[in-house]
Amino acid sequence: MASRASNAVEIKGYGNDVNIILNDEAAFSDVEAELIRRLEDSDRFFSGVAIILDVGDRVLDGKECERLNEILCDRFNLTVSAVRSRSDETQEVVGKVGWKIETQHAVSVQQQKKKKRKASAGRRSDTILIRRTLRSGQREWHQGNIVIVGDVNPGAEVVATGDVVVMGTLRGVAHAGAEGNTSAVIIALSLRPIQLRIAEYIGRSPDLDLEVDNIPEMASVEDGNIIIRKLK
Amino acid sequence: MAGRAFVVTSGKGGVGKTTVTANLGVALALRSKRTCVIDSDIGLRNLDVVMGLENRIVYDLVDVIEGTCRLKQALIKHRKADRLFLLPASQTRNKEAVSPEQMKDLIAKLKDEEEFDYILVDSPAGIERGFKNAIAGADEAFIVTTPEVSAIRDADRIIGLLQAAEMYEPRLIINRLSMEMVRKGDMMDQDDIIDILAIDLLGIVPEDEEIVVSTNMGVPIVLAENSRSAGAFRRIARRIEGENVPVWPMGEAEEGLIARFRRLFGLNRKEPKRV
Repeated sequence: MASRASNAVEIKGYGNDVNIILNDEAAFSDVEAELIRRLEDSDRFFSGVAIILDVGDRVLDGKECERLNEILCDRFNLTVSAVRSRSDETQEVVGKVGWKIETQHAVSVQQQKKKKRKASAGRRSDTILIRRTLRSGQREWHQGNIVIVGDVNPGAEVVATGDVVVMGTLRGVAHAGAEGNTSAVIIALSLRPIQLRIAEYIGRSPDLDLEVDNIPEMASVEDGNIIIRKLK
Repeated sequence: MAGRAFVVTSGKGGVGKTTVTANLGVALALRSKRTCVIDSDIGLRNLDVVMGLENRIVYDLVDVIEGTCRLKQALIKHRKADRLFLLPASQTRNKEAVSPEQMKDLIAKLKDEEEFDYILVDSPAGIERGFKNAIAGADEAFIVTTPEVSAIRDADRIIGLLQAAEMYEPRLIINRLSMEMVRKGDMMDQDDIIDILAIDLLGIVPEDEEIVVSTNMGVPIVLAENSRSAGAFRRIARRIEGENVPVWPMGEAEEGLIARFRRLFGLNRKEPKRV
């Protein structure tokens, strides 16, 4: 139950654009609830931001559209710069609320899903491996996942749009999901960072529940906080 | 045998580079090695003061490089250790007066023409031109750090820069270590430091109040027989020469190696404090 709800809404940042993607297979009530929850957690971060609302194949009716307008624009002060939709009915309804349509070509749902899977698989497997210790003042950045075989010393930074894995001691700063992917994780054989960042969330060492043993741990975002768990 | 040139650097200021350079210079000279110490901290020279030679300076490093004088004219012989020579820095110029290329040539000259066995370059603090000048002609680097977080941060940065300059195996000197504070848990010990810096340990110099006195008098402490730190400097000099003497007089040689093995097998004990 819980995992379905948490995928009902995805917020992704691409360069200067923020996309709010509504899972077109989730029930509207789930989407509504998740949307409110996510925007509440992110609070001031998104206020005044222009977003692209991506509803995919979802068919929205007038009331649902109004409800989205209420949530996004009235309550959270966002501007919907365009709606991405593959459904003709939705496009009509959305136009009535005054939102602009960004039309997509009518590709079959199957093909679209296949494309998505391929694209995200490519993203997931775009990983670089760096076999050295990062020293103070050194910074590694990558579009994808980064694996460091070595330590990340205090004063060093690792930034990835995907996951960050440190096969060593992480004492510096790691930023996973740097373009907005809140499901990215940071893993280290020994997690003793100065600061952890996942998407727009930041965790500092006094606030993080750090154990001092050399046990592999994973940091992820849950309920708007960075949580650290032992790696099983 | 060709001479060896070492740069003594740290990143952080005030951790003891000049003290280490002066004392290692004297210690090596007292072992009958023809030794030259160079102060590359142009504009903020200190090596001459610490060695008690400031009133004998006529020509300096910049004069040599600009051709105002011959190299021999600028070298000042130490009274007590007559195989030790100082090439002082200029106090009225700044670090732009010398380039890394010129430093390289100078050190080559000291090795070939003046036939020094050891050349120690006292590096300034920082990572800019002064640092780049200091490392230019060096074969090896000695990193000096004190057991505290900011010094270690800076030392780590320096090691990264040295590796980028293809000096891959710098060695570490831990200065001002207080065993009392370590025992109380107030100070990092060598394992904590090497855990982060991950380079070989050349030596440890204990905290010693006498150093203040000796600096003010312009007499490097290594010339005082009984001081604790003097013994440490002499030990480091022997290790530079290749002797396998213990780093710390408690009989534990090769500390660096032990710490590394412990880490490899996950045997590190819990840390009492964050580093």
